[in-house]
Amino acid sequence: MPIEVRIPTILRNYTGGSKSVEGKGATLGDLLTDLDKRHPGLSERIADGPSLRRFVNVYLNDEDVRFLGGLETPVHEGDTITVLPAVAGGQTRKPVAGGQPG
Amino acid sequence: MLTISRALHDKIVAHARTDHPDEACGVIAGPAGTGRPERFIPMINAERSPTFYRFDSMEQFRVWKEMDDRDEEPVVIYHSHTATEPYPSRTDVSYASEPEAHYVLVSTRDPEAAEFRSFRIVDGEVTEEEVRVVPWAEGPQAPEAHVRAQPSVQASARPATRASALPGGEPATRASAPPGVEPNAHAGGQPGQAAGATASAEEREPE
Repeated sequence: MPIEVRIPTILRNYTGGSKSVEGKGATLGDLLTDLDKRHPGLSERIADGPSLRRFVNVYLNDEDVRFLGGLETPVHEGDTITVLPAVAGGQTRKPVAGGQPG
Repeated sequence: MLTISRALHDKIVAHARTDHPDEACGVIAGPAGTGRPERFIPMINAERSPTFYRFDSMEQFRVWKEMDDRDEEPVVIYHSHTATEPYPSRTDVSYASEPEAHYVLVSTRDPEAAEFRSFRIVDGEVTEEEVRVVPWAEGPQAPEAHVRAQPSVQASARPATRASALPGGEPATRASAPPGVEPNAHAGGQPGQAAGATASAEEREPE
């Protein structure tokens, strides 16, 4: 049984409109490399070289892979990977540490 | 155009006021493919910042999974600006990832009158849209559901001063909004006055 990868709306142009694709690999990074063979450009939207992109959430089953091992997270047949672009924004480019005067 | 019930409109404004001076954020889910906002889902701002918001990743996962299970989609994604106008910033545009959603911005910079505007953000382009606040209750089982068939009578009363508000959805990319032009509904804390609501419909406050 391959690994299912659920694709968000905004990335479905890489998958021909499919909301779910399949792949294989020992780690999340391997899996993304595998997906790129059939869906070129997809992995670059999720990872930037050796790291996951900061504003893309990736989940292994019900857990955020940031807390598991990032791209090194082991994956197995039967797992489900879910990709969700972070919902974020605001009045400035980045969070202001310590907050600003109200 | 965003059509939203008075109750949901007021919930968004109340959430923004409650979280001020931090930015508030949330979703209104609705049945997939209908564009109808129905289910109010306030979200935690994981950044807890007056100038930035981000959904907590696990909360977002749960909410998105729940919407998928219920055959819903995020019809409205809202957040507040606490010191600037309710217009999508460059940050807002760069992170907008739901092309079908209505991006609602509320500004709480004025403690007397919250400003409420809605936008579509598609492929990096911002288009402001009209906000139509209607009195019917949330949900398809609402007894006032038949009111939806009534034509809008307020459209002509609203000054259409911006090309970007045309129904054809002409994209209008702007670096900054023109000052002082506010064609859309303002929630000025006036509960009896549903700006933009169908005048002849019964005003029922479900809350």
